[in-house]
Amino acid sequence: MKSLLNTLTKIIFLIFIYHSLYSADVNFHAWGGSVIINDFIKQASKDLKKKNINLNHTKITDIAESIKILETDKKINKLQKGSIDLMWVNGENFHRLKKNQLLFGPIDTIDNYKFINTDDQSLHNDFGEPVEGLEVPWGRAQFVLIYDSKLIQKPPQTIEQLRKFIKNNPGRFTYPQIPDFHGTTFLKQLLYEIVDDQSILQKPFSNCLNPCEPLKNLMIYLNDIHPFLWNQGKRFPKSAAETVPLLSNRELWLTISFNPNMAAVNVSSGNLRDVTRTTSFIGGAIGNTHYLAIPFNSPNKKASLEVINYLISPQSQADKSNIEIWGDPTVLDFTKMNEIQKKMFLDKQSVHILPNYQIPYLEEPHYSWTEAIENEWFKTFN
Amino acid sequence: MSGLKLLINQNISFLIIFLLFGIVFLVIGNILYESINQLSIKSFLNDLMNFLPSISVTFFNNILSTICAIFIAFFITEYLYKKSSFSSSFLIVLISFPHISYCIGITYLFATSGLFARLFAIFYGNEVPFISSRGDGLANFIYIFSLALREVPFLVLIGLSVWKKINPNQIQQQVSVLGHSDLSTLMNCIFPLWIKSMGLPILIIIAFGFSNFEFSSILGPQFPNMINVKIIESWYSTNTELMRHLNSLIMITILGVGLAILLLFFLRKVIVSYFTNTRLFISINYNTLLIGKFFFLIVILLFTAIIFITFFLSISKSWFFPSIFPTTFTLKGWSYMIENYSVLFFHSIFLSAIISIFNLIIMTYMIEISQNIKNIFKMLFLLSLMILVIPQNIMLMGISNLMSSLPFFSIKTWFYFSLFIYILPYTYFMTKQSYDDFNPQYIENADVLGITRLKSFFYIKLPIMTNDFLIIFGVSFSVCFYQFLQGIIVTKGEELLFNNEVLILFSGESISTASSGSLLNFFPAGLLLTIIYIRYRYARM
Repeated sequence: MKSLLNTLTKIIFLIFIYHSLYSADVNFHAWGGSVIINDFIKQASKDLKKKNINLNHTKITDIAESIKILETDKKINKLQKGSIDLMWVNGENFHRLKKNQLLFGPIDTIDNYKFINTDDQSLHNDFGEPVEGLEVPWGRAQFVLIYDSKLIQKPPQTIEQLRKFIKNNPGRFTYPQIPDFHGTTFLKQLLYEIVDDQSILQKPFSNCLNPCEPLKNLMIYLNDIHPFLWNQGKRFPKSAAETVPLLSNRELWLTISFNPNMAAVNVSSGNLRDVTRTTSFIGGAIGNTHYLAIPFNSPNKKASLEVINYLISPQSQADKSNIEIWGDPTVLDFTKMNEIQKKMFLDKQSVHILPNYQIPYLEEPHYSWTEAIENEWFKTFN
Repeated sequence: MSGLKLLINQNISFLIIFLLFGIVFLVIGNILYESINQLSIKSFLNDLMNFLPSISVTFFNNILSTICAIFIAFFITEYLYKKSSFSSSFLIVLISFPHISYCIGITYLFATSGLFARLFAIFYGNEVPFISSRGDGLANFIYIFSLALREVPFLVLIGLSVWKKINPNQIQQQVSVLGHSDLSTLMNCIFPLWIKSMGLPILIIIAFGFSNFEFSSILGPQFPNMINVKIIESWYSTNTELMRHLNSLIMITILGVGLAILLLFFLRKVIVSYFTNTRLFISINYNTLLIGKFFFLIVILLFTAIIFITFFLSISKSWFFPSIFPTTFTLKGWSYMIENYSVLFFHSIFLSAIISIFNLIIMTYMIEISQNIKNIFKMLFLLSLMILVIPQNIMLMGISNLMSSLPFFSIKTWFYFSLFIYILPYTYFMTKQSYDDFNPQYIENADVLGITRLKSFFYIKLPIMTNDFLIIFGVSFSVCFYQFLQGIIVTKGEELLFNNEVLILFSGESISTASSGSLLNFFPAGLLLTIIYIRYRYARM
């Protein structure tokens, strides 16, 4: 008995030594509100265990919290042993991280980066800001409209049709309150429809001043539709997720999303009715990319790179794009994959989704437009 | 030698208090210094003018909701005192109801496709909900009404002990000779006495009104947002314009709380003087218990409806308007919570229990070893007052600033500290109440018999005060378990309580999971306080 106990103790001790020598913890800061996303990361964490990597998902409310941690670390000269190893980031948050030199890089040297199309500028410019290898694309999004097909036979597909729909069906449409990311994206989408020369949106906002006509026209449009919105435009949902129950209960008949597979995912989980369908603006819809980045003071940079390499592998990306798992469109280039890898991406047919490449892809405006739109909105309505 | 021991012991109490004072002063000083330093008078005045609508709405809503809560609590207190002691014990369970779950529950009840609208649809027959036209007027009303009713259980619990001290039966007998009716006795004689002793709980709820994020963000108006929401928005934002407002908002909130407290205490004086002198109620003979019963039923019904709807949401797969009950059921939400959050759930229970016990031990130790209890109480009162009056969001921002100046303490240490100081005022006020109620004769008798302080504490005080200590522990535990701003502002997501995770889940797509989390969140504190109160009822010393 005693010898058995001794042997057991030795085995446990050896496992402990092995574990501490050969395994690495990667602390991944990512939004934790979505059950499906949390499940996907959990599954990735299980897969990475085989590579002796412990992927811990720190479920945050907003990535701005993590940026504040990094800013404090830099301020107090904590250059080595930071608490964040990996971040899910994009847009103005990336800009802030890049500007304050809070990222490690370049990190586009990993193996699976070969599957990413280096010519596709939408992957290498994050809201108009060159990525320069400081982050690696992880997923794509495109602006879509989700609607109840029992109540709307012909959904709006242009800004004027949307105005007509809103006025004919008062109280049945809204958008998330600014500065929510989805709300701001909706306004950018409207801006694309309003401007004569779309290229102005790719330049810094400072090129459009005294007065900035497109922004002025956007506010005129919003002023026109606000009285016909849900709650007469006097109250807005806090997030796009908040509009899901409103749509399912038919308080709203039409809402917005930034995931073309969102309707399919929510119909399958029972959150939305079976009659829910997806469409978008036929002239083009804003798309963007979300990325993975490593902070400057991550103590586990090597393991973090391995995690990124895994998360952009064909297998992981195929799982991620599967509407029964997450339904987030892939960032990989099919022309760079072999047949076996291509087959992993099940071409799920669903009446709820908008088929890929049906709507032209519009690049996110330069990041400086985000703040300008938000400030103008606050000035006009708040 | 024993004199020296006593001196050392007393000094330890003062040392602990001075240490706590020092840290709290540093925290407050730091945030004030940072804000004032980065703020010019011109930009502050400019922001003040811009935020005037927000300031007015925050001020108006919080003052009105406090006044409503006081009157409702007063009538319920009278009803419970006279009619039902068991119901009063039920109220303490409601104190443990999480704010987030309460606010979300209110939204689901009153939405255009909510439970009440569905009940109406049975009779009206509409398949599609009516067009929602909630403006800010209605949002303000819902905020005031919901916050007032949420504060009622807390006010009633303290109000009942104040009521017992006033001895209203004797007052009633005396003034009935002078021709007072039930209503005039209540309003002219009892109310002024009762409200005079309710200064502290009023202070607590007004400070909460200015610092809460859940109520103002979920139920409050949006145009303009309340200051409490603006401050967190600025804290999170990457928008330079919003970030710039943060310092002005900090100063505005501190000034706002100060002004609201002054206004409320001025109003209290006016009301007391008016109610003492008015002859309005003399001739009115009205059954006041009916008002109390009515409000009590509203509070109970509201909380029950929230628990009911949250439970059905937690087990529903699909639940579309106008169906009263879910059409398909699932236990996925519960299993997801248990599978993924059990560790955090038990960790939060453990942490809250340890911090509450530690707080109670420190408080009891300081009081016990000090000969000069009055001075200790006075200083603790001052410390608690500072913690309560400075809005929590600002205090925690101060801690967060201090963290970067004192990097040798880990985030965990600051997290525990920020939880500890927010339990301290509650532990202090309740411990003081218990010591005030304790008959010192027992200890004096023991002293005569030469029994040591330690022995008399363990053999006399502790058995007599066990129920009190248990209630203090229960309330402190629930306060600690439901803290959530620490996880956002101090640790920035690195250390969280279960409560934080529930709020994060409510921002996602799975309502059933978030609702399961919401009910789980209610479970530990609810169960603990129920057990304590059942014990209290049957094991009264």
